[in-house]
Amino acid sequence: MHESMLDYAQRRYLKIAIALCALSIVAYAWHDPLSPPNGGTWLGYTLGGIGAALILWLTALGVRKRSYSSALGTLRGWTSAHVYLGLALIVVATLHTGFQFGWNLHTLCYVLMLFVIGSGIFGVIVYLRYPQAMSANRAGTKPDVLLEEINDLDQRSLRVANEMPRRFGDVLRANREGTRVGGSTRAILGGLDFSTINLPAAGGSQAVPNPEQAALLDWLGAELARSTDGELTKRIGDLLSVVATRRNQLRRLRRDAQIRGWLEIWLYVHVPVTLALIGTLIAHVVSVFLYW
Amino acid sequence: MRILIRTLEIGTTGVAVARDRVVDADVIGFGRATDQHIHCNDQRIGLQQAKFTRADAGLLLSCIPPAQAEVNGRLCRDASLHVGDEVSLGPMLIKVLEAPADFDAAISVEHDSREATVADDAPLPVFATSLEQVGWRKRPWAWAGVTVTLLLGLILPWFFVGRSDASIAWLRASALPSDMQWTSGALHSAHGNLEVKCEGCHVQPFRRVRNEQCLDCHSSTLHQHVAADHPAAADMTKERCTTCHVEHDEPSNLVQLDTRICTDCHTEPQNHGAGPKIMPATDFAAQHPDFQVSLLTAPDWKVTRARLGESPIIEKSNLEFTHAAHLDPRGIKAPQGEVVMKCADCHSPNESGTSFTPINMEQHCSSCHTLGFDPAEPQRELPHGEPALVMQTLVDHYSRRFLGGYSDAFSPAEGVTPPGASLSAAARARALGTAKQRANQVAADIFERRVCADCHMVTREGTSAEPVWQVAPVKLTQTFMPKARFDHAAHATGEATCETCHAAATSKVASDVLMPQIKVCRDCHGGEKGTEDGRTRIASPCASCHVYHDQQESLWAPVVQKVIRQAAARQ
Repeated sequence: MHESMLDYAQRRYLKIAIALCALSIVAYAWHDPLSPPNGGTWLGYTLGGIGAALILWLTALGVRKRSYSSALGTLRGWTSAHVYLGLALIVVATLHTGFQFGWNLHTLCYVLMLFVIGSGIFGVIVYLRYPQAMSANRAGTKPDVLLEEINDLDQRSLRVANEMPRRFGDVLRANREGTRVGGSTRAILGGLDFSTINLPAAGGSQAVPNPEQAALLDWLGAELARSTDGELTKRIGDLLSVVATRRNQLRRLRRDAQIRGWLEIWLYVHVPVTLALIGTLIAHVVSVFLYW
Repeated sequence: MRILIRTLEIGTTGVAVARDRVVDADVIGFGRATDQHIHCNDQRIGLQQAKFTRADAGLLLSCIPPAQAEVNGRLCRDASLHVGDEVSLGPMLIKVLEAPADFDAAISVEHDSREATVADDAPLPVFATSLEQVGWRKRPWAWAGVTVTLLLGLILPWFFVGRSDASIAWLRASALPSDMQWTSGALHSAHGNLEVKCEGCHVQPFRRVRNEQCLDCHSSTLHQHVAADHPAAADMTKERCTTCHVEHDEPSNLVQLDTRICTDCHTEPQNHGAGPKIMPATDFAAQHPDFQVSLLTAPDWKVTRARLGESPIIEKSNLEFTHAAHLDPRGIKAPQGEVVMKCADCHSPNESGTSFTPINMEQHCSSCHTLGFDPAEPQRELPHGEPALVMQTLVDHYSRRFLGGYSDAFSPAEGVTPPGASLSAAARARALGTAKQRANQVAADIFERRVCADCHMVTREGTSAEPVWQVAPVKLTQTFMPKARFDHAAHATGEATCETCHAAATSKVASDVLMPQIKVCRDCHGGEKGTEDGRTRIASPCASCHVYHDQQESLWAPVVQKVIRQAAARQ
């Protein structure tokens, strides 16, 4: 059975993270400095050191991920540790602050860290939820195969339309041109269909929205209702069937893009904010000793 | 059923090659899976796309949804096939052949030539299905993130720090982020003037704030904890001010309330150079010696220390006084009639309310204890103070009266010159002699019986003709507990009265010391936490009453320290 990265090695890193948190909390409770708890007591420096080291090490996952030949443990192990120790960082860093916050660089550093961890938690949730949904949606096929199938369906429908009045071929070609999958962040993440189609209208043609191929199916339905020619009626029926299949495949393609979008979007926050965090962390550490 | 499957393939020579297979099966599968009888290795084809079964008049085609087949140019999912029918399944074209003898059916399988020719060569639009395709990027933002934060958070302010005061002031005043973003918390309000002057304390980068920076302002007012020759003094000079006085902290606690700064030494004071009389103190509730009072003691007014509760303490102030009589609830006889006195009639708070203004005769006693001496002129009073002045006043008064006539009801029978009479020298001398006698008579009464003796210890010296009175000087102890701070105003809670701590109403002699013992304080005050012995009392760390920087020990200026070091080196 598939073992999630969270269960890696009997949750070894979960145990390490819990131990780290427990140790930090006990030390914080026991520690009773002359001044209110803050980052400048010996425990403050210790927790700060552990926190900074954790941040740098957690960032190193980004490097390890790209290094396929690395002998430094498995990628799954790294990811498992990344998740659990990243969560433990909340406890370590919060205790480092001594719960003293303000409008300053140091609190900015803390907020950025929470932002990175928050986006990471989002990432873990989507990684736990979406890959299964993605497999179910793909049903053993792949997006480029789906595209080929759609191409096939188009060729097939155009072959059928060759035997029909010219307007059918025109509409099918317009549909091919106006089909959209994704195209914008909103469309990708919302799984929205902004397809259009040029349909014959009085005095020429008119572009209308065609989500879920609805406009085309309506048009074919109207043609079907009007048709008195038996052969034409049968062929319209064939087209309806192809277009319905096409709609289904497009829907899967869109859903696939949507899932991939959500699987990726958090990384576009997680990675840049991590780098901003590292910049702020350096500024935090240096400035604290600059004005010791 | 027994079926012949003829596969037509274009061989390497370009010539079509036919290969026949005979299959015995009820169902002939078509699909991508390797167990299919008609195998088609094409991603678009399902593992099983369609199947053929036997029908009465030939074959029956059933597609596995959502697959569809094109049968003779028509789309369908299920079809009954006859000889000559053409089935297009994805890239494959399947034709139904005439079944040879002994066969139930025969089909040929070949590549659909139409696959190569498209009905429309216009390509599908390119779909932007990934976030990267719609413009999302990590790398530039990551670079921007690290660059901007380092630049604005560190490099820019650092560049200005250590340059001229004007340039760093300019940066702080500008909209750009300055070194003010590095402050980890507000300064104590007492240091408000330094709030925008980081370099006032942080003189050198990467060096901790040194004591010198504190002494820049505080050297004139600050005092040390012990005298410079105290054995612990050397260690105390090594301490950094910021060990106790931590700034930029929340809550701001410039005054260190932590008991440990005291108990580090005072748990075992003798181990830290204290004299044998210093008793251990660890906590106000748990371990604190009885209070000592400092008393001014007659006749030389040296300050003596005495511990309350050990043996009765007698204050030698030379005053004759009784609190009990003054606080008689039935009232006390006064020129104005019967007066019921309160403590505050004499003990008036000073400006801060922490203590009281000194007691003096003119302000606190004279309204009742009048110094009038001549009933004929009741408004005329003697001066309070020097006995010689008193005598002089009396002699002056009676000389004037005896020489100038004495015409009222109190007039004595003899020795008085009638008003307006001109006197010979002898008569004048006689009148003055009488006046002197009279003055002595009155003085004896005043000093020894009526006025002075009420409060003072008076002795008579000199001759009977020229008596001289001595009044023992009075000095009242103003501060009984100089080593602790006590705020009377803070104790005016409404629940506590003066009597709560000071047993004045029953004190019959002036020598009583009415200072409360520690047990009186402990009724309300606990130790550091205030929750000792299962009772909740007012948390009272050492600093509630004591100050670390003893006002009596001067600050050891660096020069003094140097002298001490040199002296130590010589020994």
